[in-house]
Amino acid sequence: MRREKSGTVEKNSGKGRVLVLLGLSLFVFYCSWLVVAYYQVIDPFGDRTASIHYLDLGAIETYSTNLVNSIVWDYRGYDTLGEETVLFVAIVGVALVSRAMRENSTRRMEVDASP
Amino acid sequence: MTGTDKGIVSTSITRTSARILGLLGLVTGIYVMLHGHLSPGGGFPGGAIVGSGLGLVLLCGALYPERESIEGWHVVKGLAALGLLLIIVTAVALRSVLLSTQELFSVWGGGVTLLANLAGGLMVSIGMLVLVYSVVVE
Repeated sequence: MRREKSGTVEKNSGKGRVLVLLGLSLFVFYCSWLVVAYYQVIDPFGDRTASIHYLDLGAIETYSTNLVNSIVWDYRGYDTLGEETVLFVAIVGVALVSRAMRENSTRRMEVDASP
Repeated sequence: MTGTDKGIVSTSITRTSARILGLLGLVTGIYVMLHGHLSPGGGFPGGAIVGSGLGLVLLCGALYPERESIEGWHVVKGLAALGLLLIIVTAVALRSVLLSTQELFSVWGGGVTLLANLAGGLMVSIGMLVLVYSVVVE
């Protein structure tokens, strides 16, 4: 019984290993396909297309003459959104921890004062 | 009335100077936020200036907010973050709508940048305020 069970487990794990290998190879194939597609579509690294675009069209596209601000809040808006999310979560965490500490201390004071 | 209570130092000197300096911080921060697309500054520094000014007012005992109003600040902070999310997700469409009404080098320029500066600054300032309240006052 026990041997049977372990045998089935081993059989399952072997099948699972094959599936994992298959999935991994598919993933690697997909990633390499993505890299090839990327190199065909996007300009090569070191090309200054993005910086030239910011310099030429930054003020006209965003109407923000402070180019630093236009890049931070407009072109890289999602990056800034992530920073704001980090700040938001940090503040919420501090507020929650301080609230829990306060409730703990008031409960202790009530326990001390009750008898 | 003088007294120290839970990290607040409240004398008439601190209260009077906190009113003046807090108002200065408020005005400076709003200026920095509104002119973020023209001059150095923007949402983060403007929000930090406003938040530290209001935090000074809080620390010097010029205002005694109730705990329920802090809950309201959390709600405003969340709404500001939501607004920032909406502005940045719809940036492309918003830009084409706003650009027809705007001109370069004016305060009502900037478009998406101005709106995102304001929303982010609101979130950062209320966040700083909540931070000061929860660390020092509670």
